Amino acid sequence: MDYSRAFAISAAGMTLERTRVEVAAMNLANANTVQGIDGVSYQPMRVVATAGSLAQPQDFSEALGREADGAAGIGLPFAVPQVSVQPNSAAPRRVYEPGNPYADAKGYVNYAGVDNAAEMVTMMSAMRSYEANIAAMNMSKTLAVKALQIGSSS
Amino acid sequence: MTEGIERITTAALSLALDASAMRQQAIAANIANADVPGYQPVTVDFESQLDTAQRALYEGGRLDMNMLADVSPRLVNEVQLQPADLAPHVTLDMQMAQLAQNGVQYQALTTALNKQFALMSLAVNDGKR
Repeated sequence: MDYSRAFAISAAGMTLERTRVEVAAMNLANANTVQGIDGVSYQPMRVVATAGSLAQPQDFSEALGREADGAAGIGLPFAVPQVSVQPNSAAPRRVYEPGNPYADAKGYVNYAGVDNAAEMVTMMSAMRSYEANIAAMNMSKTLAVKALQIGSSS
Repeated sequence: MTEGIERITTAALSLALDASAMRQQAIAANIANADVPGYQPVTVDFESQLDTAQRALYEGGRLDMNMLADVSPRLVNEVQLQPADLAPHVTLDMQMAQLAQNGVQYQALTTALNKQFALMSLAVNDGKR
């Protein structure tokens, strides 16, 4: 069994989920930052995942394995998620605080447009998916060990 | 070297192990891509290719090596999606159930292969352990 590919797939899935948790945490941490006078403010981020193929072969054995797959014809290539973090074009949250030094002429302060509930939901679902990826990877490891024990005196 | 002795059992078990290992990777890929919009879940097509071999086994009582010649596990799409369909189609609980089932299947196959080799070892050692 090709361990490295099974592990690479699960690792890519875990990278995606960890990025989602990190971005959600970053958004929540900056949820109450005030937009400065110069207009530079925190822009909430979102994780965009697209399905891509496994990365270019890193070494000889991987390239060889790919050639072998091509010869045997496994059907489809395995897809792994590709992660990118992009700014979320959410409008700033405007709060009426006339005494705030960052208030504009009408007394409104622009806070970062972070949706707290949505971020919490993202974090929960990312955590569950991360656990599922770990379970898949543990199973791959168990199977690899079982394969190594074939033929040993039982 | 030992291909003459019960070659078909070893060959069939190897094929099934290949299919099970590929299925493990397919499930891992489905779980990894569970949150990706527009991802097409994949599955492994193997058991359906064994129909003719199974029929021959039931009718003739023995399995011919030629039956397994063009059997190879293949990765196929689980459902055919429309290109514009971006809704997630991976159900995490189903994938976890399949993961557990496939793991037990793989271990059963390795156990069977171990027993087969143990029989062969018994034969070459003249019945002595």
